[in-house]
Amino acid sequence: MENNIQNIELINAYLNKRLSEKEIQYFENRLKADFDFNILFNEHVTFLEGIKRQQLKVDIGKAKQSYIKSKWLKYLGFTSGLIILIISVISNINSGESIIEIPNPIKSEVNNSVSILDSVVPNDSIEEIVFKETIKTKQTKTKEVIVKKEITEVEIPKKSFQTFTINQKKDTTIICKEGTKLTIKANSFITDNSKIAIGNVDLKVTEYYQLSDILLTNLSTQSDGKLLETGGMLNLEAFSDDRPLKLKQNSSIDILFPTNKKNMKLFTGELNKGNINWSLADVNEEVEPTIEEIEVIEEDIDVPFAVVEEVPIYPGCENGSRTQRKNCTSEAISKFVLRNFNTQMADDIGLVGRQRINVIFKIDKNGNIVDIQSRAPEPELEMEAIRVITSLPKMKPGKQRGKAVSVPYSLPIIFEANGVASVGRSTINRRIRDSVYRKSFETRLTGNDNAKVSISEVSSYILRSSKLGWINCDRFVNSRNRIKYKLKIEDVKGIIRVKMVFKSMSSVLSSRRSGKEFDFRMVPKNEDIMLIAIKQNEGKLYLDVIDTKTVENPNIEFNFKEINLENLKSELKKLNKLF
Amino acid sequence: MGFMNDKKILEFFKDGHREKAFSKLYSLYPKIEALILSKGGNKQDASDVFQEALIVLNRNLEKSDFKLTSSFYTYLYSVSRFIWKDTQKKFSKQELHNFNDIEIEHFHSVLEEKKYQLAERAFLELGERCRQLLQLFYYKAMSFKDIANMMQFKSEKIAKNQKYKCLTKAKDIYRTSNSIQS
Repeated sequence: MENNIQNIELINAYLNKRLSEKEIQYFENRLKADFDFNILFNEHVTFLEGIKRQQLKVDIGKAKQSYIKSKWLKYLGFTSGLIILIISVISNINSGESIIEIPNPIKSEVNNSVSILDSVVPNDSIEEIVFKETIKTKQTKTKEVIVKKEITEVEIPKKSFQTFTINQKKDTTIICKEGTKLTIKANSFITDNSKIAIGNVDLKVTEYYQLSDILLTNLSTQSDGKLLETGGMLNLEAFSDDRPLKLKQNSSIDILFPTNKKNMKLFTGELNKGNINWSLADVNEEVEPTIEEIEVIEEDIDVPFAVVEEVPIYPGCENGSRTQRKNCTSEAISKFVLRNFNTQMADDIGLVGRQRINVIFKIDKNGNIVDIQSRAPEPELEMEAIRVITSLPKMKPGKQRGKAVSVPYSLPIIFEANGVASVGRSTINRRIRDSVYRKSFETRLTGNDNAKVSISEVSSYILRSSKLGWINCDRFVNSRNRIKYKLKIEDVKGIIRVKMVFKSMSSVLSSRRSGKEFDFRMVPKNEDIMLIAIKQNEGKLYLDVIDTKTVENPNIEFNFKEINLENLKSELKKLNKLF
Repeated sequence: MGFMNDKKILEFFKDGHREKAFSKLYSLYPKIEALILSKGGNKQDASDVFQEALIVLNRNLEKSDFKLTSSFYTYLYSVSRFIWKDTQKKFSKQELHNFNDIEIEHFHSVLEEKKYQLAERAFLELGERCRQLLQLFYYKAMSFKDIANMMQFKSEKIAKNQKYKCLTKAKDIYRTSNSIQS
């Protein structure tokens, strides 16, 4: 890693032309000779170009604005020309009068003022007009939203929230009705003017795990057009005496989502024209804690396993010479991993051939296994490696000059996968292990003060959010084969919402309506789906559910049937088993 | 837009007045819009395609061996057509066969740009702070000291560490998205 950093610094120096001629030559020769370095270089350049695209888009956006402005200017130039004409006509009339009453010098002043107008008026009026335009569109937008909200509130009640009153002075853990567990540190909430909220805080939590709740609230699982699979969504709001609160900078809430799904990440949502869009939460939230660790570790010393004077000792390896103890420990670690690593898991997810996972962890000053990092082509492999390494027994810490030190240890795990999916046996095993693992982890999370939770363990189901509002525990669904999917509805009176629910995964897509068309944009091909159309018109509700597959040019006709709210709810509840 | 105008725009590019050059080139937009609309796209598509064509143009102008052999209009029109066709995946074998040299060159530029699009997408999947950090370092060429100050990192070293982490993360995302694509 250290090496990699240096290489990237070198590449940056080269790109910024900070190298001497000799260094440049050496660099360019290396590019030709060193294949890995060449790849790294090209990748870095590509990535920088990627960032640059963002800047270019900003420039182009500005250019577009100024082009539009200049178009306006031409138009306004014409109209303001007219205005000036009128003004000068008027002033001519005035000055005509003034010729009679007032002598020449003042007439020229009048002319001056006209010419000032000439230069000032168009500019100002442009600014104003452009400005008004934006305000106008904004206003209509907000109006739209409000109108929609009012209607939905009248016709389809939103899921009701649960309120928890918490004491800001203490750390608090809340378990909600559907199993969400929230852990909140003391003094996490601040008011709008950045003061710590005093006294009790009302936390309003709405949980969305059931498909029916998701559909009724008009939620969906997509991120900028990309499909997400959800492990549960939440809406969190905090109030003190009915005043909204937010989370203090650098403080966060740990959220446990009761889901079996793997590799979930935290997404935060924003409502736009009634539809929700999710974006991956700040990477910083995962990174920050490790940075704190770096700071601490800088004071302590890390001594690699290969060079440390006294290696950490695996239980049972206490005897023998230094070399014997060292070999015994590394053998014991390898054996432990071999014994416990669930290679079946690789078969279950359909991997074939040699699999390599690189794992780095540290045996800290107390002999605990910490800072586990894992790299593999498949996230499942990474998680499995982390799971196994986490369960290594506590060791006797390594020592340097008589002082306990933290020792980094790197371990490649290599094995052959058969690619033949076996019948469930191992998955069952795994689930049991998972739940044991989860339990011990939960106790660490909720347990007292010193319990430390490493972020890599957390990512699968406990996520940390530094924001309130809409929060989703998701992962991206990558599908190779995607098609455009559009539907047409002839009778479009009223408000119609069409959602697509995927049977194979917990995903809901919403459609964009334009005229009679309902556009889902790109969707995975040949997936079993349910199309759920809800119509609200003149105080009545209509529903139609169609069971189909995603194919190109779908030929779907909805047959809306009137339904009352209670039945709508129970019809949607019937779909809950899909999730 | 005549020859004189093209020369002026080229000078803008050369002198680093990219924004000015772009806004001059925007006068060609209505024609490109008409093209995309006639091919079944909507106004948003047209705006996206034109933006992409400008990016491709800019990238090529930055290459030392690139020479604009036609007018800006012809170039942008041709590149826009390829971009739109590429998004629609509407190339017949026959068509690919009949490309002339210039068209092949334009087509290649469009395909090359997709690589950078992926990198951009990877960048956009990063968190806000990571994006800001990378932009400040790579685009604004700020020192880690200034970045640490501005973004309230405790030290230069932490800013540096963080930047490296963000970069690695983005590259990981890029690599996975790349392997899915290919």
